[in-house]
Order: sequence, then structure tokens, then C-alpha cells
Amino acid sequence: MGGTGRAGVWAACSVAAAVGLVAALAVRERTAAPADARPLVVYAAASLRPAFTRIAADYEADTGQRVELRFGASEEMLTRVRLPAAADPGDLFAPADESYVTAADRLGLVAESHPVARMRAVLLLAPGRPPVTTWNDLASRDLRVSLANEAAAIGRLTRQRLTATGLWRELEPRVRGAATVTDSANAAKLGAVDAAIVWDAVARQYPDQPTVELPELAGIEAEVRVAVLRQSARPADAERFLRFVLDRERGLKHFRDLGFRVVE
Amino acid sequence: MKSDRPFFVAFAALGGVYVLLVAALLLADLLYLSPSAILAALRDPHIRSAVWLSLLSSSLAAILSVWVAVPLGYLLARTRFPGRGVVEFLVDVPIVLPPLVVGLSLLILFQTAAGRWVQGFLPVTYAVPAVVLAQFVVSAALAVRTVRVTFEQRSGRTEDVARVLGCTRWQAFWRVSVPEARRGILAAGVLAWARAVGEFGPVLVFAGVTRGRTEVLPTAVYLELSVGNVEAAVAIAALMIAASAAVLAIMRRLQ
Repeated sequence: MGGTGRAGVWAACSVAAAVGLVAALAVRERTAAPADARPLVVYAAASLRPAFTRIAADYEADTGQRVELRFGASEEMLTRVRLPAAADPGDLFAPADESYVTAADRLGLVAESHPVARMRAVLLLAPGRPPVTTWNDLASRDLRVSLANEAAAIGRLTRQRLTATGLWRELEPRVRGAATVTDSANAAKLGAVDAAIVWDAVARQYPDQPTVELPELAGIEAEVRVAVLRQSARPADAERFLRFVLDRERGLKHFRDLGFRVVE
Repeated sequence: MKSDRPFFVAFAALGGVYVLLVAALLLADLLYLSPSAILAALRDPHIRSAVWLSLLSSSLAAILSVWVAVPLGYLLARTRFPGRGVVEFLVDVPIVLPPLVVGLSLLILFQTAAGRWVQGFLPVTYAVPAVVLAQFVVSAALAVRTVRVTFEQRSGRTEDVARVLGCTRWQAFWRVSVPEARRGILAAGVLAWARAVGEFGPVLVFAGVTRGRTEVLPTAVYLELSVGNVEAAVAIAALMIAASAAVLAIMRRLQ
């Protein structure tokens, strides 16, 4: 295979570059995840990132145990919990609302779970729009309202509640579907819609936008629950982290500071 | 002879619509951008880590894509073999499949007995190898298409002449075919890199988002959006555009 010419030099360079890149990634991986002890693995909804980042930092400082937070959309977290790598099981599961914990429980994945906070549906208005204070304002004007689809608890519960009270027919023509509750809130923030029906805990992450509590949305509530997974290889440590999250002066404090109505 | 002007005006108008659309997208991002958000993104160690991982993993995925694309593209362009249609179909599958399905399929693959065996030596899922593999699967498909078209545009006569003059198949390939296809191969590498750096769905599902570990720039944008931090998401997008522009400019110079 002799005489590859200049093309051969390029090929050799590409091999050297690939080896260098693999080495750089290996060094980075070793620095990011030291091989001393496996961390506690927490699958958490991306919307709970601020709370869990603070809680995990406190827990690590307190116990010296590493916590690895893996974020994503709740339904995708559920998929991951269902398909754990043999050598890499998850320890805790903290989706955006309780419906995913219920689903995981039905699949036999949950050892125990506890509520952390309660959320209720509110109307988040887009910045700079005329105020909406009553349901009539919402229904009489030609407003566009973003609402997550039925896979998300807020989408499902809102549709159920408003159908039961006969108001869904009024709202439905104005509804613009979104994949998740944060997609709804972001659509309102960017002004793509006039308002969004979101959880109060989500609305607090948008301090520049007015929030309205409409009586018609009363009763649309959900809990944030944290579950210890059956697949956990370290159930005692997972339980310890859960207790830390539920401690009103430690974990719950961060949820409270971030505007959640915590369950004490 | 009639003027060529109407022809060029019509073509420029049609093509210009797309160019203007992309320019408008970038301008809209720019208007939404605040310098403080960019500075905050640059100061954030997680974002810096995501920048590095994006650059390293995409470059590795692009090189691996070219390694696969050159032999496969050559074979598809120059030879007829049984099952060629099936191979063509399989190569196109990662382009056609929804990105999330690519990620889910990778996740399922590594739960099979063979996948678990591999993971006994090298942890893949939710680790850096998963990022590279997720990027590689899709970007390699684009690279194969590009290289194949490049070889198809060459008749292969020069290669035959080289063989008549005494070159072996290997020598004819390295000394004639590859230099002739150099621009196409580089274009495949650029395309593979660009696709890899923007890859989101497969990376999200297969590698997850572990901050400081498997977080790449697209997943960093997603994490910021999921807490309503649109300003930070746009700032990270701006960093992505800047990094991509720099790398693409270097690659174009090499071409």
C-alpha cells in the first residue's frame, strides 16, 4: 500500500487529529467525573434546574458526596428512567409535576416519593399588552393564549377543568398549543401570544410580566414530587438526599426562595 | 442578443429571498441580544465547558464521518454490488428519521446484549462517547452523500490510466482519486462539522444534559429556555454562530 502521496499525509494528519481529540475528551471526562466514587444520579426536569443546582451544591458541601444532576423534559426523563444503563442506574427522579411520578410508579420504578411543592394555574401576560383582569377580558377580546399540550399536566388538567365548567369552548379557538409549560411562558415573553396559562412557580421565573389569578382557573393544581427509584444502587444515600430536599431549612428553603409554595 | 439582465434579476430575486430570511433571523437575534447576557454566558463555567465540548466532539465526529464517507461514497459511486440499494437506503435513514428517534434508537441499541457488552469496556450512554456517537450518526450520512456525488462527477478515467501505467488499486486511489475529489471531501467534512455542532435531539436523548459533562451548546440553549432565560439562550446561540463562523472560515481557506 506504498506511495499514498499528499493525500496520505492528509489522512495521517486526520488520524493524529482524531487521536488528539479523543485524548482531550478523555482528559476532560476524567476531570468532570472523577473515578473515585459513583455520584448520586438525579434525573430532574429542566424547569427545576435552579432549585436542584442550589440543593445539590449544599448537599455536596454538607456530606462530601457528589451529586450528578441530569436535566431534560419530564417525559424524556421518564424514558431515561425506564431505560437505565446497567452500570449507570438513576437514584432519584424529580419531574416537573406529579403526573410523571405517577406514570413511573405504575411502571414499578418508584420506591417512594414525596411532595415538595404545590403549583396552581395562573395567566401569564405578554409584556406591554392591555391588562387582563377577568375571564371576560380573556374571552371577549381576540387574544391568543398559549397552553401546553395534553402530555403536560397543565395542558391536561386545564382542558379537563374548563371542559367540566363549560368554558373550554370559549377558550379553545384562542388557544395556541405548545410542547411544554415553559414553551408557553416563553411564547408569552417573546410576544408571540398575548398570554399563557402556566404554573405559578413557572410564572415567577418571568418577573417582568404581569400574572393574573383567575377564579376560573382555580382548582387546576399539581404537585412537584421527588421519587427515589427502585433501580438505585445506593438506596440509603438516595433516601438521605431525599430527606435533605424535604428539610424545610435546606432543600425546601431553596424552593421557597424561588417562589414555590412548598409542602411543609 | 437580448440582455441577460432579466435572467439574473429573476434568479437573484428568488435566491435572495432565502438569503434575506437567514440574514433577518440573525438580525433579530442580534437585536434581542444584550452585551451583559453575552458576558454572563462567557463567565458561566458551564457554558464555557459546553463551548469546548461542542468544538471537540463536533471535530471528532466530522473526522470520523469523513473516514467513513470516503470509502463508502467511493464504493457507492464506482461499483455495483448486491444489496447496493439497501446500503443506499440505510445510509439515508439517519437523515430521514426525526432526530429524537435517532437518539431513542441509539439508547435502545445500547440496552441490548451487544450494547451492554460494549458498555462493560467503555461507558457510552449519558457520557461523552454518546455525544460524539449521536453527532456522528447524522453527520456521517450527510458526508457520505457529499463524497459520493463528488466521486460520481469524476469519470474514473484518470484512475484507469494510472492503473494501466502500473499503479496498484491503492496507489491509483491515493494518488489520483483522492486528490481529484479533495474539494468534495473537504466540503463533506465542513458539512459534517456544521451538522454535528448544531445537533440537538439525538444528543439530548442519548447523552442527556449533565452540566459540565455532556452539555453541548444546543443543549445549553435548551436548558436556559426551560427556565425562561431567553436572553441567555440567545447569547449562547450568538456564541455558537461566532464559533461556527470562525471554523467554517478556516475550512473554506483550506478548500
